[in-house]
Amino acid sequence: MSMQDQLVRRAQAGDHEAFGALVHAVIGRLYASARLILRDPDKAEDVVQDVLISAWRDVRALRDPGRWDAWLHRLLVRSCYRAAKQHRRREYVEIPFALDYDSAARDDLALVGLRDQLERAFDRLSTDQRMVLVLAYFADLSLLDISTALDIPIGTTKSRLHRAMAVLRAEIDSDARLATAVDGRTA
Amino acid sequence: MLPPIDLERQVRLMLEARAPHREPDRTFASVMEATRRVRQRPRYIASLLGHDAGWAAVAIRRVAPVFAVVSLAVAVLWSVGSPGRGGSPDLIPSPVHPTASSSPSLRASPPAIAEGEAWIAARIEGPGGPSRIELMRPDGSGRHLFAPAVEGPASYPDWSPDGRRIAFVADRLGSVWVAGADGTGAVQVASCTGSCSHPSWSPDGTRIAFTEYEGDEVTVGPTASSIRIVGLDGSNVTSIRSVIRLERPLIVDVPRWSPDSTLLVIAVDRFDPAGFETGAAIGTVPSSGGQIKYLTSFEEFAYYPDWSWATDTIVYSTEVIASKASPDPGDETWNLFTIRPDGSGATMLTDLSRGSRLAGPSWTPDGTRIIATRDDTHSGAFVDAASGLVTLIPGTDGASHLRLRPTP
Repeated sequence: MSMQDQLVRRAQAGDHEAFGALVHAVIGRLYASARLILRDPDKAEDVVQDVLISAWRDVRALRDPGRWDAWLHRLLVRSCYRAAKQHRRREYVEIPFALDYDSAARDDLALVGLRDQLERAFDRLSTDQRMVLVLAYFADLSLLDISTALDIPIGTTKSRLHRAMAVLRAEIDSDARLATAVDGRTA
Repeated sequence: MLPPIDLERQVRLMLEARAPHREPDRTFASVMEATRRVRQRPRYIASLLGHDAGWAAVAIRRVAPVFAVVSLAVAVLWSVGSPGRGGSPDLIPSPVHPTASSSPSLRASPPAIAEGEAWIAARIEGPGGPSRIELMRPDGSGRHLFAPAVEGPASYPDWSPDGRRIAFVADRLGSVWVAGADGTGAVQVASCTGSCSHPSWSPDGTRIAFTEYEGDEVTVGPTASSIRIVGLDGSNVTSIRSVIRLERPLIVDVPRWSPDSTLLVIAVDRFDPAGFETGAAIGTVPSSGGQIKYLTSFEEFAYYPDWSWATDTIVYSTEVIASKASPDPGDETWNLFTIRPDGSGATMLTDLSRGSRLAGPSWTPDGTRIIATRDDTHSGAFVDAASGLVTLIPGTDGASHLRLRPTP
């Protein structure tokens, strides 16, 4: 049994300290996922708090400790949907600060301008599409775990992921074509 | 046209770069502070036992959460006395959970259980701690610890038909015991390979049906369960046999006797491979063994049945514990239903508002009321069997699995 599984077991038995260790290990990634999905740091904090309180309250309903991550993300998805509904009343897009960028990751962005295009395209995606991309490419969940988190069949997960990527690619292509046209006129 | 790129890799890099690389400043501390005040829901509970021996016994506790329509006076009192009200519904105040060492009411000599006097036996779940059984009068007075001489916590009380003895489960030992109402004369009458649960006296007091769970150390929750019956002559065991055994994805649970003892009403839970509940149904099975006759569909999530010996009517609740369809149990509404033993006449007895939960119903001996639990605070409530009116029972904080003493 892994250390995490043992901690889950202890949390299920009411060990608050074990739960604290679990929270400490996941809170940063949960917050980051929520912030990527919601694009609102305050809402993301509220969501993470909501998720973790629910996790403590209902951890005994989790029968397989190995499903802890998938279960947490399922709670996260639910909470994000709720927050997103409330959020529609005053929609805004978070503009990330440069300080938030990891230098190694920045160096890896070899294609000049692609990052900005990707971010713009990502911001134009629906909540559903952002969610599936974050779960797949940031939280690194398996297709099964994403299906569990989103409460949809694996086939639907695959098609939603495929569609989100297709929209991203189309947005980038569109930006590129626009830039080429502008360049042609100004040349 | 954009040159060919590895879009997946670029999306990963973009997300990683864009994500904040620090924890939120306030959330960890506020979560830990908040969770200290939030009670864990006692659903299927993995009770780690015998750490040194490296084994774990899995105890299934489909405890009845509940919600109620409250009388105005009780609601106001509760609201006034609850600092968490008005904030997040999750942040309920910790109910008073007296312990044997700290509570004056439990340190004092317990009141005598007078012949013919009505008492409630209830399972009490401490905040994150082990369960125990406490007794209280129906008006909440005289609350005290039921303290049989057994190792570890006790739970799942059931009164004998004459009201003189209580069958219960010793959690740590994973066995069924019987003791006098004052806790004296405790004797073990059955043991289980995994853990025992839900002992239930037959109407003539000569048998106890119970659930045996078979678990392992890897899976939280049982891999199989059986309904078994132990025969008693006084406190002496005369026989023990199995009525029915089911393996996952089905788990059989919560046996309760028919008035003539020929049948047991039982609950059957259905799970998917990931351990999520996909349905629950109630049915009857001959107490001599045989096939289940289902009274409800699995989609109804019918659970925790009890059979009135006075009115030959079955009550059950609709409890959803952890299904994919409703991963947030806080959104669920659990109501009480009644049904005839042949499966006809299913009637919705209570009609609670969304998010309200009544569970763990048990008939009062005269069949006029049902005693149940409310999920969020685990306090007891009476439900009128005719009108469905719900009335909270004062002084039952932390209580679930309530049983009213027969008073012949």
